[in-house]
Amino acid sequence: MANLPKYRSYTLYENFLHSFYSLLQTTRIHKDDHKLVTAGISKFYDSFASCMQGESLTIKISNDHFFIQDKQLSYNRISKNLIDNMARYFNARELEGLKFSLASREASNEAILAFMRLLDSADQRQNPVAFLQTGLNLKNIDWVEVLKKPEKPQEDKLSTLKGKSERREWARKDYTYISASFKEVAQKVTSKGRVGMRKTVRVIQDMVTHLIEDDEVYSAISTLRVFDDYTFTHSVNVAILSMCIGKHINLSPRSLERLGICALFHDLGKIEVPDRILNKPGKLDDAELKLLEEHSLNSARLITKLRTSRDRKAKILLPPFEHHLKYNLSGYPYTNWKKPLTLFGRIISIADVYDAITSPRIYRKTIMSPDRALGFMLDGAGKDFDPILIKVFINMFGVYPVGTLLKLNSGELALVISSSRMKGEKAPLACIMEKDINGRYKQGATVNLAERDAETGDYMREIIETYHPSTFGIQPAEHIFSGY
Amino acid sequence: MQISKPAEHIKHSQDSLLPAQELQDTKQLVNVLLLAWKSYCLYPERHAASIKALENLESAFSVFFSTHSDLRLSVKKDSLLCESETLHEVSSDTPSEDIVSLLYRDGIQWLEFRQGLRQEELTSFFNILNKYRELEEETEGDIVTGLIDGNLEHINIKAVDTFWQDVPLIDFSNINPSLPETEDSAKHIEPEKTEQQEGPRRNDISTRSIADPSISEELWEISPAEYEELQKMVLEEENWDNTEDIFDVLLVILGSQTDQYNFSSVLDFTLEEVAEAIEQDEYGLLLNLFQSLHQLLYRDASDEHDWVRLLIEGFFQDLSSSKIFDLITAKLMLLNDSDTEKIQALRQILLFLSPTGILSLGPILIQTRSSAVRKMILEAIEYLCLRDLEPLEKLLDSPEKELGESLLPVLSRLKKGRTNKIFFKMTEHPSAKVRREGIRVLLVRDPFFVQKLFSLIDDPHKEIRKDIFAGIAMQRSSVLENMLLKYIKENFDKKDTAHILACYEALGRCGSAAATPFLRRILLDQGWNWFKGYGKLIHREGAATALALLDTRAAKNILQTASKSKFKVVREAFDKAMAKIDASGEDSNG
Repeated sequence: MANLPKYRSYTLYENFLHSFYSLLQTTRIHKDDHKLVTAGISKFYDSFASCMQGESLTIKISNDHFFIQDKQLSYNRISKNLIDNMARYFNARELEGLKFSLASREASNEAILAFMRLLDSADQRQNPVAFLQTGLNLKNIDWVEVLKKPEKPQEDKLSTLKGKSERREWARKDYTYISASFKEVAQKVTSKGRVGMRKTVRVIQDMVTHLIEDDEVYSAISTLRVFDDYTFTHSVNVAILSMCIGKHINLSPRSLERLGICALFHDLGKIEVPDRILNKPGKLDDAELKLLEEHSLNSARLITKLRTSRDRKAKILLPPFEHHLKYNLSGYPYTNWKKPLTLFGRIISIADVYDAITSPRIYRKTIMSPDRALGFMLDGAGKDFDPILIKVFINMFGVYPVGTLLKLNSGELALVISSSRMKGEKAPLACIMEKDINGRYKQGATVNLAERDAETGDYMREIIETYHPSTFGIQPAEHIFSGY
Repeated sequence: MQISKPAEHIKHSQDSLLPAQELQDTKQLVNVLLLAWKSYCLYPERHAASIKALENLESAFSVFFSTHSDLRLSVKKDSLLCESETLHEVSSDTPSEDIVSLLYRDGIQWLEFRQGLRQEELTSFFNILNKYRELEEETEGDIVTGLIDGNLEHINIKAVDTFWQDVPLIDFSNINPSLPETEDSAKHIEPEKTEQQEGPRRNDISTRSIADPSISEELWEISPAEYEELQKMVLEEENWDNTEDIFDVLLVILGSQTDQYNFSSVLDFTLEEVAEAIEQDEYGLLLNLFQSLHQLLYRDASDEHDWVRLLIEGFFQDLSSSKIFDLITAKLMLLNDSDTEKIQALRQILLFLSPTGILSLGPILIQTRSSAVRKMILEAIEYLCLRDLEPLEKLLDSPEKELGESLLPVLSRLKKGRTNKIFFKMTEHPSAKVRREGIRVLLVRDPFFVQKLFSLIDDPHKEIRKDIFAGIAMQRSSVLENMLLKYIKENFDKKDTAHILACYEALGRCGSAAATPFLRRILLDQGWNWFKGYGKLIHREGAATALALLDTRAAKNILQTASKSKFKVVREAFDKAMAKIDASGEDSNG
């Protein structure tokens, strides 16, 4: 095994697909004259030219397998992420494929960008392929042909829905299993025995596979708040949020796995802190505070007791130790630690604070809504948090993160079930929360808050205030999950 | 391992999705796979049989992939399938040894071999299977985690959960997210409650939302430079060498521990890390770690924390285990004279280890080709000897002549104290060089040691015998005198004349009047018992020499008598002795 390269680079065709996908992502975020966009086009051209053979270059998708020039791309751990993303992208636009002619090589940057933007916006249309074809005609783009998928039989449409519910089920299972495995580790590690990591690693590896395919469903499930079981739920949520950040910065699957384990165990040391201190409503005295602040150091210590390879332990030890050290190295443990925090330590610290300040705790008088939490955390950029990672975090969530409770100008309460991640677009997808006869909130209609009045151009519903859902006794995960 | 039903015996079902040829080829391939696994279980990885089996398997895959695409095998509880065709059934006799049972145990649903498969991947695959063939209760992983960690490009699996099937899935609707309405919490929310009877309780409204128009989107827009920075961060993280950071964290943790058990368990892990650092040639880091641990050792000298001292000492003792030393030895053997930095760093590290390490270091002295390494090891041994000489003593038990001689520079520099034992041990060493050095040092330290070394009078090495005689001759001693007299009496028939003469000469130099009667008898008496040696010229000559060297009145009288003896042999002995003494320039009264 030692002789095998850990990660090979992309093949020629994978490289083309990658440059295509990257350019789509970049144009979604940046303006046409942005340096990254220009660089992306250049990469796209180069990889396109390398793959072009004969008169045309065809990309096709069939049963989630990608074919370039009729050659199936190998689906493996290196290409998996890329192929999954691209397959989802094509499926959302009902595309069977794209056929680029030789003339593509002469296309201007503007034309390439126009094509990319058209393609990107097609998923919100009733008939994406027709929209694309019309758009291409209007813009005189004749060097690319849109290949339409054969009409879906009813069964196939159902299978798409099934795919969504399947993903929800994965997330629910993963959440249940990861909680169970963490509880088991926590209980055993206190009994001074060595604890095997097998179950934890298995479930984290599964999560990585699933999260790479769809991280939104995991962001949604991380809104779960359990007051009585805070430490465990918090640990799982932090693991999920950290892995989501990791996915957004393109960590490899193996690094995501490591990040997930680090984050899951970041508060392992808290199992040695008595509940009376963890749940003390009032201010902690000095001795209690000292004991509490030892938890990050103790997390690292307890990790050394886990039964797993030395290498794995060494790789997961540091971030839990660091998670209460701030970006400027203030915070605790109070040591003369002078080294810059590790990437994982910085990620976990963001996920940790976000989950903590958006969780109801008995010692805190107020709870922040997710959007306020992001505002609060942005203020700490460069001091408390890595300034770039905090931006990634905000971009990942959008300004109204999933799980934010909104008060609309209509007087309705709405829960964000899918946030808008697009630049310049703040309005998310939400479900109206209605009280039933028992005074309990239930899920009403799903509304797209980006919808505008055709005549006035005003939003149909405007957001006037945001709340933390628990202040209304709402468990966001329950509703987001059914609405997802 | 038993393969109960070879694939050929299993019938091709009527509704098979596989073409007949493909099915046949698949069965053949699976048979080769099962046989290879069988060999792999029976023989070590590097055994010719295992290597051959893997080569056969790789060839079989090459043949298969030349006409067919990727191979996906479904794993059932008791069988292995391709499409709907059963290719192998698990034997009921030894199910636990069957590859299918192992895969099934860990929840593998299917296993896929892809085109491009390499022999290294097959080896890794079998290694992983073998590693997790038997699972302990608290294990670090299993076949699934191993295969995913192994990152085998052309081997894919799909696995299902096998642990938590009985755990009920989380039901969000049953979980209350709110705080319990305790009296205390009610107090906290009271102001908000009064302000807004229906609606948010405890909702923070003082913090600005990220959606607030006053917060510009540019504040959280990621610039191209930041994207590049992110990519760099990821790259750094994925190639991060964490050894230094890990040692630092471990030291912080150790420094903060007040619990003996916790301290000990962290030290256990530190030991594992040390082994890794040696593997990685991270000697500078190791040195820092050892220095810091030593500081910890002396930081808290109170009796209350005496366990800290004991545990750290135990740690350094453990460091000197054969496992660690084997690693160090392997590294030392690779070093050349030009590796100055590494040699110096290793020297420093060795000084921290227990003197028992001398036993491992010694042999390197004769194995290494680098004189710089040899010099460094000698220095380290010399230093370690200051703490405990016993390992060096043990090392000298080794019959290796070369090893003893290599240690000479150290041995000669050993200072007084408890080192005499070592030098006496040296005098028994197979190497004459070592024995002679031992004798030299001992006689310099205390001329009376010669009494203990008397037996070396018979050493096969001439120079050593000379040294012993010289040692004896250095002092007048009744003990030595008696020893010599006894020796001479018991060895009258020795044929080595020079040795006999040397004994008499030594007797003359160390003896006293007490030896005179014996010498008189030897010199003057008749040779009636010559067959025992008495009466021979060489003994008379020796006795004359001894008497001359005794330099007493009685001795002089005897010599005078001898010079006038009517027996030629007596006069001749006298003359020879006197001539020898004259030649050596010593004063005589003969």
